[in-house]
Amino acid sequence: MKPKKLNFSLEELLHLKRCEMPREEFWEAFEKQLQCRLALEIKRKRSFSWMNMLDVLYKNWVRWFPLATCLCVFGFVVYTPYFRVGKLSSRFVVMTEDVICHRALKQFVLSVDQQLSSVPVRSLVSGSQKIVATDACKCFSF
Amino acid sequence: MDDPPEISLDKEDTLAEQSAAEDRLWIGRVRSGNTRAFNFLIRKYQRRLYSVVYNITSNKVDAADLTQEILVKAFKGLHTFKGESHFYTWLYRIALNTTFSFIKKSKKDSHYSLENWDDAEVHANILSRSNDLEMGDRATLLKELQEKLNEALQKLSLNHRTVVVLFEIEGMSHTEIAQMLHCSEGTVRSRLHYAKEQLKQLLKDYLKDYEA
Repeated sequence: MKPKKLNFSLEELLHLKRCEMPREEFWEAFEKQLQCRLALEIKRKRSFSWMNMLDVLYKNWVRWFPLATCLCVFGFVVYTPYFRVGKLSSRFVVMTEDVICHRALKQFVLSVDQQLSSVPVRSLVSGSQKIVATDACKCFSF
Repeated sequence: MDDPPEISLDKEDTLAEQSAAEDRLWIGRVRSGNTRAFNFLIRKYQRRLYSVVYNITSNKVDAADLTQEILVKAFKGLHTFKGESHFYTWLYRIALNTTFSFIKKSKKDSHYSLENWDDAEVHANILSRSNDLEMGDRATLLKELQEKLNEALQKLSLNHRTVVVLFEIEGMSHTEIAQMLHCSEGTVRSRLHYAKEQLKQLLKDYLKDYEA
């Protein structure tokens, strides 16, 4: 049977879709259910666990991985002995023999291209005391 | 009964601004730790969100579940809302993205589950125009019309359906829709035109003066 034509335009017909709404009772149940889901979410947010932490790290690895790699490379370059060789001559601590304790240390900085012998070490301490120059690892006697 | 007074554009803008300011206020409260303040935003938007999702999916069970999921997502991601757009634009974006991915996942086993029509409104709109029908015929006609309407909407592509739902059913402007869908207003207009032509063709048996 051919359906009966109605006196409607398409727009009017589509506006009728606004009438398709659930009844009030539905919204009460809906809100209760939603509150439960939100409460769970809040609880989950507040509870810290290693699994959550790993989960977050795993999800955001694109963000932290390059940064962590850069930090590792930087640390390797700065603190590995091989890379420190070039800097050994740049910093010496000068101290007198009778005052070995760290409090009495006197220090000065050499530039990278300066030779140790060219530095007027003696002028830094008074008298004829024996002078020792050292860095954190090694000692040099003059 | 008198027609409701028309709201001027200026007044509409003022109302929209007031609504946006109200949203910002409640969002601020949620961010400062008052999670209950989110209930205000839920009550304000849940019906509109449900309506969008339902009209896109034509399934009331999925629509209820997705609306809850959208609101939970919004709650979780509220700290990412920068306030560059209206809150509802942001919320609708979440709604559309969630609905789209749901539809793409469950494309094969989709089925209809239709809401009841609000009798009072339908009576005012449809039945008054079909006085020559018996009560039984009217009920049958309504049922049939609802099914055909949803069926026709589901035959549209997802993009076309979304534009029709947002413009014709939700009453949003082209600009708002373009913002939500990240496309130009021209694209929205052209999708709307194409979708309406398709719908007219699909529903030609029910529409007045339509010639393909």
